[in-house]
Parts: sequence; structure tokens; C-alpha cells
Amino acid sequence: MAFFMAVANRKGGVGKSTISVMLAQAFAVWGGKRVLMIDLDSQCNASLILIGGQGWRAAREADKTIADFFYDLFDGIPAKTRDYLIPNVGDVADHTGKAPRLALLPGSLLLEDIQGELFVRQARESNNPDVVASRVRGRIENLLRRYGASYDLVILDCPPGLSLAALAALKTADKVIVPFKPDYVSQLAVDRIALLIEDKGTLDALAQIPAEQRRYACLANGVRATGKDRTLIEEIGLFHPMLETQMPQKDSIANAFDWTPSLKSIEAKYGDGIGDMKRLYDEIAPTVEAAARLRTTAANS
Amino acid sequence: MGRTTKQLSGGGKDKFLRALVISEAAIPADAATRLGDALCTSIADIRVRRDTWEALRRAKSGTATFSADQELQIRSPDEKVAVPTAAFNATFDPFVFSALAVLTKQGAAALSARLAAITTAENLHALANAQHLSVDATLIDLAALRTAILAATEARLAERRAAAS
Repeated sequence: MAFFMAVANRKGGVGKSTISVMLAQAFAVWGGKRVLMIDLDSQCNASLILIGGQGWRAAREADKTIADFFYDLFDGIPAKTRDYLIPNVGDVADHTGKAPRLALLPGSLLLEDIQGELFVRQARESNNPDVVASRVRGRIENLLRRYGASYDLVILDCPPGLSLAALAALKTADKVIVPFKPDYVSQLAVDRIALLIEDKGTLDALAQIPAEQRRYACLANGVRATGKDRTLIEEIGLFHPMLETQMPQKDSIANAFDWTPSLKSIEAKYGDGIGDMKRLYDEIAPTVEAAARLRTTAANS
Repeated sequence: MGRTTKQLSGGGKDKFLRALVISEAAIPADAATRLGDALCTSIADIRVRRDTWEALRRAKSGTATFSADQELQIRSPDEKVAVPTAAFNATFDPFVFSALAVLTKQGAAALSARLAAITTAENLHALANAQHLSVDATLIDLAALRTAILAATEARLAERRAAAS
């Protein structure tokens, strides 16, 4: 069973898709893992980074997107989940020079519309909107979990805001990475998504959960070497577990997300940002490995 | 065989530098904080001896103690020391410490002590402005200004709690 890792923040522009792609490529290339990226953001940035504009258009034309997947399988219509996936995506090579085992369930501009349609469809069975929303979310959660059997790691690139798909992803995730930019608005956004993830109503209630037991960890992204950024990161860390790694603001990282048709080494792709990416991978990998060992032990007992 | 050095950047680098400076018992706490802040701001990444890093990390987490003859003397960040009164107006960093972090972690008395080390109204206003602490811009009395900053920090903490609930 895969480890499900969501990358989420209610605020947009904090680097959710870029961090998702970095983690996906790091685990596929350095970790040798079978990785699936599920693009739940209707901006589809992760898809564009991994398969380019033409690849994404081809996926839409072939009805191979997250919206098609939800729509087709929502009512339990028999279908092969792998038919919606694009294998061997991205423009980095593994150590053998081949594309790593990284697959993509492409995003869709129609995802929000589809969720509305699924809600209406489910509403025929209940007049209570909360019940309907809960059922839709639960079914989306079950659909996401169907990919767990074939991969070591499933990365859920979440949209900003709180769609039913985003809520389902947060429920599904074994771990949620919350990237944030060091600014005052991000502080509130991190507070709110943390409460949502841990299902708590206040920061004081959240504080009752020891940091090491929380399902999420925050990642400072686009960090500048200024006192202001340092202060803001410290202030966010007052209430939340923080990854030791911080992703600095670097052109090499920002420029790494332009898809090219030919494979290159991961070092060539990320330039002088590769060290930052490796530190991030080294910090998160033990959590994924530990979960994998636990599952293997449980399966064998 | 394990590596004897370790590359640090970002939060890990900052933690190491601060812990290293604080471990020098001869440096007053306030000066150690300022020196640590200056090092963190100026240095992007470092390669450190792994044994030193491990020792500091263990000491910070309270799982190890250091005898007098050992090189590292770790002082608790909460230890009370005399607060130097000298101001350094020319290079004042309005982010020298986070008022919110000091208030949350160490309480109002500790924040008052930190503010007492800032001895000009100009610098107190600079800190308040930079850290989004709303105080009366016409205040020039130092004691009143420090009280206003403390109140504004408490208000900011309350705002954050309210916004999250």
C-alpha cells in the first residue's frame, strides 16, 4: 500500500505544485520508488510541469484526467484505474538514463465543475447538504485510495481553497506537507489548514497534540536571507511543526519547472537548487521508509 | 563509515549558529542573540563538524549534559542574565527578535526585558513597524512605547488566535 502525501495550503502561490513535483522526482530518481502524482488543482501546474502543454492537451483529448476519472468511476462503473494514468512522465532521467517510475493522473480545468455535478448526483439520495458533501468526499477519498496498491508513494497536489477533492485528499493523506511563503497572510493560512488537518477548532486545542504526532509539517518556501523572513518563519513555527529544510528563493529552482521534451539528469534540471532539494528529500524520506516498513511488517504478520 | 562533516543551510544552519553562540558562557545572552541573528542573516550555508553538531543538538534537546571540562557549555535560552543597555542605533535590525515569539515562548516579562535593551524611541518604532505591531507613532517616552509594544504584541497574538478559530 502506498504512502499518501498531500501537498496543501489554502493559500495560492506558495509553491504547492513545484514542491509536489520536486518530491515526486526526488523519490522516483533518488529513492527508486514507484511514484504517482495526482494533480487535484484545476490550474494543472503539476501536469504542465510533468508532461508539457501538448502532453496535457493530449491527455484531455483522450479523457485521461482527474475529472474523467472521478466522473467515470464515481458510480462504481468498472474501469481500470491505470487507464487514466500517464506513465514515465517528467523530463529527468534516473541513474540508468531512463525515465523514472513516475506516473501522472493529469489535472483538469473541469475538476470543479465535475465536483458540482457529483454533488448534484449524490443530492438525489439526501436532502441534507452536509450529508451529501460528506458522501461525495468519502467516495472521492475511496477513489484516490484505489491507486495505493500499485505505487510506493502517491503525491496529492492539492488546490488552494477547500474543494471536496481537496478535503478528500487531506483525509487520505498519511502526511501533509504545508508549503508557505514567509509573509503575514501565510501565517493565517497555515493556522487554518493545520486546524483542518487535525480537526481542531482553535490553536490552543491544536497545541494539545504534540508536534511529532501531527499529520502535517510546514515547509518554508521561497525564503530570502532576511531578518523578516526568519522572524515570520519563527512565528509560524510557534504553533506548527516545521521542517528543518527551508527552500530558498533561487532562480535555478524557479526556472526548473519549464518542461522540455528531452530527458536530463536531475542535477542538470535543478542546477544549484539541487542541494536544497536533496536536503528536503533526505528529511522526508525516512518518514516514507518507516511507513513502508510498518506496512510490510503488518502484511507479513 | 559515516561522514565527519555535515552541510547545513536554512533553519538547520540557523539553529546550529545560535546554539553555538549561546554555548559560549562568556557572552551575555542578549549579545549572543544579536550575534546569532547577525550570523544567521549573513551566512547562507555552512559545513560543520558532525560531532559538534551532534553535541549541540543533544544539548538543546536536553538529552545530554556537559561537564565543566568539556568544550561546550550550553546555557538554557530561558536563563535570566543582565540585559545590556547599550543601543546600537546605526545598525539596528528591527527583526533582532520576534516580539510575538518571545511573548509566546517566554512571557511578557521576557519581552519587556528584550525591549528594555532597545534604548531609543526610533529603534523601538522601527521594530514595531517592521513586525506589524500597531503603536501610536507620536509616542516618544521609552517606557510608554515599550508598554505599547507589549500590548500590541498581545493584541497580535489574540488576533491570530481569533482568526484561526
